[in-house]
Amino acid sequence: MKSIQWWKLAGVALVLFALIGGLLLPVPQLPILAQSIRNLYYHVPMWFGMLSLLIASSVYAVKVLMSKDLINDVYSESFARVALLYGTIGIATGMIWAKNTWGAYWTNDPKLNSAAIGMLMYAAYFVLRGSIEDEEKKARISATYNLFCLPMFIVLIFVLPRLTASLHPGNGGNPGFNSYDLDSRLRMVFYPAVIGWILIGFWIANIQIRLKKIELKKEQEL
Amino acid sequence: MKYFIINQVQQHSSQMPSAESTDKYLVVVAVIAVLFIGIVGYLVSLDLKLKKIENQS
Repeated sequence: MKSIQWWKLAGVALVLFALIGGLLLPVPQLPILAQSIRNLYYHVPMWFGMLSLLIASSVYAVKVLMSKDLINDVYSESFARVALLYGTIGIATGMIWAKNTWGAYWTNDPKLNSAAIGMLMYAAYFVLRGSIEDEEKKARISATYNLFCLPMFIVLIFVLPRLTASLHPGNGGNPGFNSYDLDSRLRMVFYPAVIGWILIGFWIANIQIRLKKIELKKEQEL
Repeated sequence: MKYFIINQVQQHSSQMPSAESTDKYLVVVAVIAVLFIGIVGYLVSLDLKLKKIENQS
């Protein structure tokens, strides 16, 4: 375990605390939400994690366009891949929450539809990558597409749902969780969950990147 | 731990949770924790294997 870096262990400790504490520690008793409010610790950190990974992916997309080093493309793709995984888990946990509070797995909520569009945009990123054979062309075209995707994703998730009626807290005139949670009981688990899942996401991406680096090195040796 | 959960539920509910439901709740917590530890174990093993390969080359 000595060779495992501290931030990876910190991520594990924080998520383990959030998983166990999220089920056992007290939560505010709110109408409709009731005990399902505990899903805040599992659903929302996925979106924070996804956004952090997408930002990292975009940073490396810029690096791809600024330099000819293809290793930046490996970073950019790996971060986007893990972000898509987080988004899928975020949608799955959200659907379970929606069924228990709104009565249906999927409603015509602008945030849900925006999240689905955002996910499809990033799914298209991988389709685009798969359709180009030349490695350099693939890196540059997908990096350009990636840079268009991030602002679109932010607008879809954080801006558009706030402009119209939405069932989500903090959107469409609905109060956010901050105004409910006056005693900050949620924050004690929520913030560690967010930081922990972000760290775990970067760890998974780190493993993918190192694996691809080894593959590239072996290909060059052949 | 069982008394802690019963106490927590009592604070927010008029109904007393049964010992059976408290046990089930603890089983859920334990299963989730074990699943996560399993995933972490897999990540650690991958990390260590990669480190070994990186050091060799």
